[in-house]
Amino acid sequence: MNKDIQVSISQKDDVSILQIKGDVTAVTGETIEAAYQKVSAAGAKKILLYFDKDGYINSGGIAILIGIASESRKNGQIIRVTGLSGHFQKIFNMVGLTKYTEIFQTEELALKDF
Amino acid sequence: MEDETLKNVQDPSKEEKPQQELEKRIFHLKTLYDLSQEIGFLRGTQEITKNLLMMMIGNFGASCGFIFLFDTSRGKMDTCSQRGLPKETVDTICEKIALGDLTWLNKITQIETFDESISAQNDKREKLFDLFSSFGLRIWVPLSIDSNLRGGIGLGDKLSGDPYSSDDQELMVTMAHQGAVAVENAKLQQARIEALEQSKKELEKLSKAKSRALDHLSHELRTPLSVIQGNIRILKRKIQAQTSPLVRQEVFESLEKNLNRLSDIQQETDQIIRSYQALETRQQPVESDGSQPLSLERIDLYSFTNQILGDVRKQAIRREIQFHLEGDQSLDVLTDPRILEDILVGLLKNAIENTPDEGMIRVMLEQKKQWIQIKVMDFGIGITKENQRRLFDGLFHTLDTELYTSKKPYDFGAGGKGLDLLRARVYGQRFKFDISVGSQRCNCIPTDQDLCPGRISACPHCKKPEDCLSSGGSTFCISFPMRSSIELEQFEP
Repeated sequence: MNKDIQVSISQKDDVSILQIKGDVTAVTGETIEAAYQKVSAAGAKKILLYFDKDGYINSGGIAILIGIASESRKNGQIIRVTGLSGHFQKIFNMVGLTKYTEIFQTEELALKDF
Repeated sequence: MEDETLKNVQDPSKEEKPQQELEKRIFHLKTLYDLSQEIGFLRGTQEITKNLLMMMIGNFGASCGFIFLFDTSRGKMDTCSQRGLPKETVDTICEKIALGDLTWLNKITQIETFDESISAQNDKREKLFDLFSSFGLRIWVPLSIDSNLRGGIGLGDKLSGDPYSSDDQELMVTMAHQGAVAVENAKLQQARIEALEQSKKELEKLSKAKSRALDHLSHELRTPLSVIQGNIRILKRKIQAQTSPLVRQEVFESLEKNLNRLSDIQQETDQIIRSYQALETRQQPVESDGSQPLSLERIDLYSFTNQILGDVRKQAIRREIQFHLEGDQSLDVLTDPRILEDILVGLLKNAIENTPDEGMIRVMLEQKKQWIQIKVMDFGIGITKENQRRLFDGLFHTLDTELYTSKKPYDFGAGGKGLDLLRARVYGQRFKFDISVGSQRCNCIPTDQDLCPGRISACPHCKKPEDCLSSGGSTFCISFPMRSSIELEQFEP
């Protein structure tokens, strides 16, 4: 597994986009958490997590995403997800993350009617 | 057309269920693999337990989780991590564990689920139920490291709303075992490191005490030696008329010779102690005259070595040894010439004193990868493997003390007390060059007790000089890191 991760933040209208490049683990996930806290502190209510299709997400990384999803519910934020491979879409569904977030095939579809 | 929110993945059709089950199992197996990779090399209990908890939460899609290890021997919480629980909840749990009756920790040996529909079945279950169920934890896996370190992992409801299946429970137990092994290894490793650090501290203390004792001894020797030397001079003057000149000369010569030898030993010991102190404090050694050598110069290695070799040959003029200087004539090094001279003279002297007459010494200059090397190769008696280990320690002589006789420098078997080699090691540390040795003890005299006659033609094992040359010898190698031409240009000779 690659220990490096890059998370860039961009804005499209009122949606904060967190572009995630690299493998998501308990350790690298802290960078995503930090980015999420940053956009939340700036008042973001709509957040799109844009994953790298080749990226790997392990159980530790999913725990980080569960934490973000849970906090977003408390904060009244909407989280949407795109860029996931078919395998990880199923994993997200299996662990129940799709009850907190919605997964879209493309960025355009995710941004549409956020 | 594909559903844009992919809600179809939430409710798989009958055909898709086996595929989904397969992917789930692959994911669980991958989790086990990742867990071993993530925690197997961690050395901190807190890091291990935190990672274990995260992997469990992610793998089962749990809403929250809590993990702790309690040290029953110290009555103290060893490790505690949580995710998704309010801080106050965690504080309350920790407080209750620390203050409560901990006998239940030993009683819980199996996985427990907290289903509110099932009433408490026994005391053991009731206590757990009360404590954890109220905080939203639904399942508990005991974690036992040893007889003292016990605890467990609690997970909250699954986000999916599904109950924890028997497969889930089996996997949780496996993951908990994996975590327990990693913690045990980390604790053992920590104990080893602490024991090593303790030993190191004790050795350092002993080494300092030894240095102080030697320093004191050397200092204490200096005064009485000076007094004796002075008194002998007075005595010599006073009894000049009372004894025959022949007796007087014999007695005083013997007295003075042995006294001078004692004085030399004291001075050399003093130098060794100073060099050791320089090694311990990582400073450059102070010269006997008090000067501090540090003057980098670009040195033409071939002509410099040739000149040193010429000087040394003059010193060893009485010895019948062939000297050869070979190798690259275009090499430059950047160092203090006095230090290089000191080391080269020391190595050549050492080589001469260990090479029998009619023998040979070769000095080779060469570049090997990023290093410029000076090799002093003798075909002498060589050094036993045991002695090679102690070679750079100072206070070392390759001949047994009993066999040691006082000889002139450069005589065969004269040898000092290893001061030259110790100094080379100190200089190497200071001026960033490496010094190493390779040696083969002469196969005709394999132990330190076996003597070399000091002349090849007198050796009963050698029929011709070549027999000696192939029987043993030592090579000392000084390696200087290569400098760039820009660096060297700044130090034009």
